[in-house]
Amino acid sequence: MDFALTEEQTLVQRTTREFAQLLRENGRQSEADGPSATLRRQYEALELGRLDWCAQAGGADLGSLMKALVVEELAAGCAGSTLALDHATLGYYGAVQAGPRGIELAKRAASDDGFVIAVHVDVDKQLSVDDGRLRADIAYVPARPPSALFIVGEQLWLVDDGIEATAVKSCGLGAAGGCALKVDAEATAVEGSAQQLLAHSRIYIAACLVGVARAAHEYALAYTLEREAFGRKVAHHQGIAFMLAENRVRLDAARVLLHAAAVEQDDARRHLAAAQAFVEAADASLYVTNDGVQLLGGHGYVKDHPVEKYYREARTLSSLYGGRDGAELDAESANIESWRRRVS
Amino acid sequence: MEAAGLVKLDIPDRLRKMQQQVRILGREFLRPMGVEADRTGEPTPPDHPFYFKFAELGLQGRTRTASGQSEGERWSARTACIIGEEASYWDRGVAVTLPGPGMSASPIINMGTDEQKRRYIDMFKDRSKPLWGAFAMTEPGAGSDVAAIRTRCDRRGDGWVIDGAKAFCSNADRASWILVWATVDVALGRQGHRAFVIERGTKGMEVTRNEKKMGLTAYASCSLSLDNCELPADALLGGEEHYQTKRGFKEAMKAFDATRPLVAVMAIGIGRAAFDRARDFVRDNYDLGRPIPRYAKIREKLARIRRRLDAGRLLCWKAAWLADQQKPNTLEASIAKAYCPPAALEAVSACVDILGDAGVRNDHLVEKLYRDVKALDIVEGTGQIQRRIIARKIAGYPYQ
Repeated sequence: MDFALTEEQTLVQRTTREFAQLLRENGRQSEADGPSATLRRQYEALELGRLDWCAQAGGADLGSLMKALVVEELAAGCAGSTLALDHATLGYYGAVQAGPRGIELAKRAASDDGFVIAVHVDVDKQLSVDDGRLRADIAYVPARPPSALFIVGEQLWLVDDGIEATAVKSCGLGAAGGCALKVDAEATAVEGSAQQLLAHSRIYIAACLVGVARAAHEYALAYTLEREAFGRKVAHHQGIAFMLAENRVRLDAARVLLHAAAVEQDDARRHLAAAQAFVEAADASLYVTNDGVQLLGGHGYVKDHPVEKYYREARTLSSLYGGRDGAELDAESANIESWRRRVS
Repeated sequence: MEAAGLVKLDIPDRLRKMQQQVRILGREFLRPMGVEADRTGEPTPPDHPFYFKFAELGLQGRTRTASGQSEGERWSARTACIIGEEASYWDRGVAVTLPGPGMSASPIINMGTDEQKRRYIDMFKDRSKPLWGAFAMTEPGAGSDVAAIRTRCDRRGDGWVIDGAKAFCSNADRASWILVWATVDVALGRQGHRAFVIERGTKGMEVTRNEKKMGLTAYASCSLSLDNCELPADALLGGEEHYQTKRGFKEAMKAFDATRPLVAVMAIGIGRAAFDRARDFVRDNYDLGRPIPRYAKIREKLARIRRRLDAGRLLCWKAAWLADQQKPNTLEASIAKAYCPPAALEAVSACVDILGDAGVRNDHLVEKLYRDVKALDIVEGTGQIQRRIIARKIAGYPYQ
């Protein structure tokens, strides 16, 4: 039982935090136009993208915890920019399930910024497959128009042709782009594990959610320590102080579950832990970012401050990959499955 | 794509074995003793054979404190968390009655003179009979605001005289000594605090009442009166020089920092006991795969309970790990204490829901657990006090 980070993890975390400051400063611009070419170059130079990829795909194989630490930092800067800059990793989690063909797709996504792999979780069972032809209407993916698409349904499908994309605006994460997809194309059934795909993706998004919540908490804390009302710092009124304390408690709880999921080695337990981490992170992030706006009062509602952006980002992130409810349903099933394993 | 790094959340084999031993004791003794105390409404008597067995095994010499010093058989904070959760799983009330110095161990070991440590800590190495220590800080008029205690201590000749009253002092009915906190001057606040070890039978100290609580009946929560209670100079914990700085109060608070994760994880133990009971009930009676609306709610509740208990446990472990590393953990300890009891209360309450009508019958374990668990959000700093501490740490929230 040990919570210590390695020197390497601490160093990478610190370096990422410095870069995330740039993401924060450029957050409004990125939300409108995507991350600038300069930010993209700087991000590439830091080589943060493929930290948890396997060596076969050209990755550093440093594990999910390292990735979670980095993603939290990036998302605390700008969650939309995180998804834009690191789009290949979210594609990789799908692609790696498809064996050598998928690895090639992931490598291409990593080297060619125009090649996007999207992943969609068909939580409402709306897709239909008939004689290998897949039809689906997907309302939103937080990405630019994809060249390849993995769909998680009863089975894992890969579509790499015949994807019709229409740009859409979303509540948050504008920097990542966003599109609606219409698919009516030949699909390949992938033999890989949808559970593994979901576990990695959920850990990733949970890290984003923790990052966004942390950013909102830190901003609101600094603001309420600076501003005064009724003759004292806003933060020193008990009603406000308790809100700040509660936010910190929820944030820490979400982070320990995230890290527990990231270090879990057993596939079945990891599936449960990742779903738990996603739900806790979503709940914490929605709670804390709402309080972030509330703590700034009217100032929280306007775009002079970033808390309204965090509020929108938390809502959008919580809806991805089957959303909070999809994760909760999976946690429910995995929970019950774990009793059965224990009994048998 | 597997995890790398030092963060390890597995329980080591050595601790698993200890946990297993507590499980055996819990099943055989703690749970039945707790249920019996709840039925009779009386604390478990100090001559219960289990306590003699506990002493005989040398367990009362192991303190439940967590400041990380490596003295003989002391447990690490993480060990205390594992054992504390497991004991509380079987019965938190009986767990509090386990022989030993209890909460007083940390201040005596951290503040006491060599003679005091020898006299009041080494005594627990005795395996022939169960022995208890007790900790008296709370007063009828000073609970959360411990700095406002009014029990007076005044110099008289070479010694001291104590006057006042204490409340909610666990195990005072059976303790060989009680660590009593008093003040030389109420106006001095924390700086006026002094701690005294008062031995059983000392003239002027009397246990006046055993509170009738709604739960956790197995341990006695006593009121004390201190009426012209004369003490020798060496009853002052740590000697006078110890109090020339603010260390006196700080040492008391350090004791709470060490034990807060333990109390928090005890709440998790109660929540887990309810969860297991509800899970078994569901497994035996329901087919959750059937599309019945109530079953969907049950699945949801069980998943939420497990997630929140898992998160709470990890928060406790992290705070305990910091204590073991000799690192400041006030913030993390309070975060754990703020999170766990409400999570456990929610868990137990949801389990009552899951069991339906049967859940509120007081011959059913979860009904007892529902009464037991509430105390954990009150003892060792209420949830509100934890939020004050957190706010002070992160935002400089003032004491006054």
